[in-house]
Amino acid sequence: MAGLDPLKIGNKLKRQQQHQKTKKAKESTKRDERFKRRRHEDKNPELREARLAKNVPATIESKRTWDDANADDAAEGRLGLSVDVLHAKRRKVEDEEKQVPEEINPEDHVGDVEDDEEPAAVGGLEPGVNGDEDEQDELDSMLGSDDSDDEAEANAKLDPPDRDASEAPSAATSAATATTDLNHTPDALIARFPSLFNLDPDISPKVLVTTALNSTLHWEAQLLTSLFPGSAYVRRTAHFRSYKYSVREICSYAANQAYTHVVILNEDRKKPKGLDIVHLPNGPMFHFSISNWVEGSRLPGHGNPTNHYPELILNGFRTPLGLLAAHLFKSLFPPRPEIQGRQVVTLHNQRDYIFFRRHRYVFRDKRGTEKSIQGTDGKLMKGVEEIRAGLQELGPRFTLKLRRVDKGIQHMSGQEWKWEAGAEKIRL
Amino acid sequence: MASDEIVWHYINQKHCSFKLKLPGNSSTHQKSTKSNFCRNEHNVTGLCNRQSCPLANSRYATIRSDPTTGRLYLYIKTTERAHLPNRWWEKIRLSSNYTKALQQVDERLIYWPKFLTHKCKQRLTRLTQVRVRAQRLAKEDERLGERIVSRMAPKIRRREETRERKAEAAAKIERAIERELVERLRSGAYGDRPLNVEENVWKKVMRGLERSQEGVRDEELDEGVEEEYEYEREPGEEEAEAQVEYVSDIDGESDEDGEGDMEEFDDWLGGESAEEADSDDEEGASGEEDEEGPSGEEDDDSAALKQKLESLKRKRPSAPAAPKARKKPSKGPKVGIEYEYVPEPQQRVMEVA
Repeated sequence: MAGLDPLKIGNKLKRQQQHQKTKKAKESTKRDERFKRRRHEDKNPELREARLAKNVPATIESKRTWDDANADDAAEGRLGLSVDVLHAKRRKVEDEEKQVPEEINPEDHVGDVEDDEEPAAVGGLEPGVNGDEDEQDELDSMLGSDDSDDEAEANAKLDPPDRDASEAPSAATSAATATTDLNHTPDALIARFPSLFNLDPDISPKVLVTTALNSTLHWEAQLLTSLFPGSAYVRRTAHFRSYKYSVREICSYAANQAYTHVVILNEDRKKPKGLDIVHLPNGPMFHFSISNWVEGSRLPGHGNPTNHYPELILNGFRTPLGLLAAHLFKSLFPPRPEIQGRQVVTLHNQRDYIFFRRHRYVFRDKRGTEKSIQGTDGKLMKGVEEIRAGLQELGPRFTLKLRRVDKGIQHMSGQEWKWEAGAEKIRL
Repeated sequence: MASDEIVWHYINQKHCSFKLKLPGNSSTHQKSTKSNFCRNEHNVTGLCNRQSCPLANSRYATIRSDPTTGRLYLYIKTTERAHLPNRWWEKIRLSSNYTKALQQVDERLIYWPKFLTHKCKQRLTRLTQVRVRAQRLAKEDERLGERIVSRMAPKIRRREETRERKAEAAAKIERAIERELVERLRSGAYGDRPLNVEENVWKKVMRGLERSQEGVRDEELDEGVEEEYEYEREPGEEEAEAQVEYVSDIDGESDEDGEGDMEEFDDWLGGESAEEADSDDEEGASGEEDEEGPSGEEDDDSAALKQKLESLKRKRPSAPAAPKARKKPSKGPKVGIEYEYVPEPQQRVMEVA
């Protein structure tokens, strides 16, 4: 009677055989059920939709808890808060449904960022008007994703009551990777960093690429010049006894020469480790750490870039800090892309990791074996069912993570925002 | 005094804790062939000698620096205090002016054996040089502004690597890119005759758009019907974008919300639905698109976006005019063509080359 208690069979061989049998049986019943369900749902697609709508898998993005959005905080344009700037309205709807105070206000971050006095009567979270809307004739492909730290990720003080799919759209998953709309930046933030946000669409960026002192990443720095149109790479002082120009001096020289940005590539044992981007003339300085730098030639099926101005896709920047970073990236590239070059640079922010990719694309007919393109919520895109976009990856790919934002140039000028390892969790 | 001899005898012959014997250099190539060193901090030369040993000399003098302030002090040990070891060393602060310090040493150690004064002054010189060089380095560091970034703790580094991997898996970057590019193409951000598409592909897209537009236009007649239809379908329908507020408004959920939504909607359109009075197209079109087929609230967005683009970039009188002329008076909602489409929640203002 091997089936009595299969785990308690003493004979190992018999036990294994029995286990395999039960496993097979279980799996085959599951399979049968699945196929039956599929047959049902093929006949009746509404069933499938209902099932999918009911069984939405929980993702990290959907579990994200947001900070309390005080009007004054948002009005000041603080960077530390994890506030979904672009979807404030949606969250209000969700609040009404939940009737549960949704957000947690982590104390450590409230204290972290300095308060600038913004006489802001603006409800900064309103995704409403921005005067820049008309000015920014540029490709705004940034949808809300959070670039700031995932604080309260795992912790919710109160369990949300079980409810069906809310009327507020299941934006969590879709919004997490949706393209950011740059227009919805809160005014207070714009006021704090005017040069970053109010970009003149006629000014082409001029980028000065350099490395840290005593660095050997000359080839990688040259790659960066191919990446940013209108950029030049200048080496650091090599000789042991010569005068070493400091970053501040370099920035002042660059500002005099009408450069718009200085990009500094940091090194760790012959590999790119970090990227410091200074927004001239004395603008904020952004420190990113680089991981997984892969050169173009190492990518399978790669292409070679031309010097057409690329289009820009900025995905997933949702919070004020995210929007700041997104605008920085936008300012690094020429505002009017040459679409005949069919090149696109993507900065996709997912869970605070910004994935940098460069592709050459082509719009082509869908092959018979391919599926159609789905929108962010799984429904097919209308009007373009027969179209797919083929992508060929060019040039380097790497991952950035924002670590620090300095108010001026270098650490001494004070920090706007700083990444802290301990802040990723909230310990009660 | 007499005990000095005894102490030295023991230290030299038997054992001294401070003594350090190192293999000396060969005299042919190196200047210094010394091999016996003294690690005592009060030793003025650093070598293990009868004259240099601070333990075996009851009268002794050294120069030492204060690590925090960088000041130099003259330490003097006299025979009179030989029986009070905790008061052996008399600490005299020297002037930071080098010449003055030299004079101070001279006057303090007057009548002392030449050896000690000489060595003290040598040590003073050396320590001042060290201090000057340290200050210079500190200033240079400050100018360069570079700080040592400590290594990331291995636990955190590993955690971040894992998270990055998972984030990349969750991101589906290429799909997102493709979606975005096709969305731009569809919404017309590339203009009338885009340079990055082939003819036949673009024609397909245009046809698809026109089909949807046509559908919209036909519903113009059935405004009332459409609204009700939408209304019925709403509760069960699941939206995936911010314009749900618009939907809620129709539901009559709350007036303030509705107000806010309308404002938002208007603002988002840049107030163009109000402003642009010149083009009937837009008003008519937006009116039409407001009442679209069952699946259609979302089409508002794309359509409205198109309106905005048209107004901002180039007037495309042909496009909206032509379909309008082609308007067929079909009755009823186009239920047959059900495009389950939900556009992106947010709108973009696209930059056209």
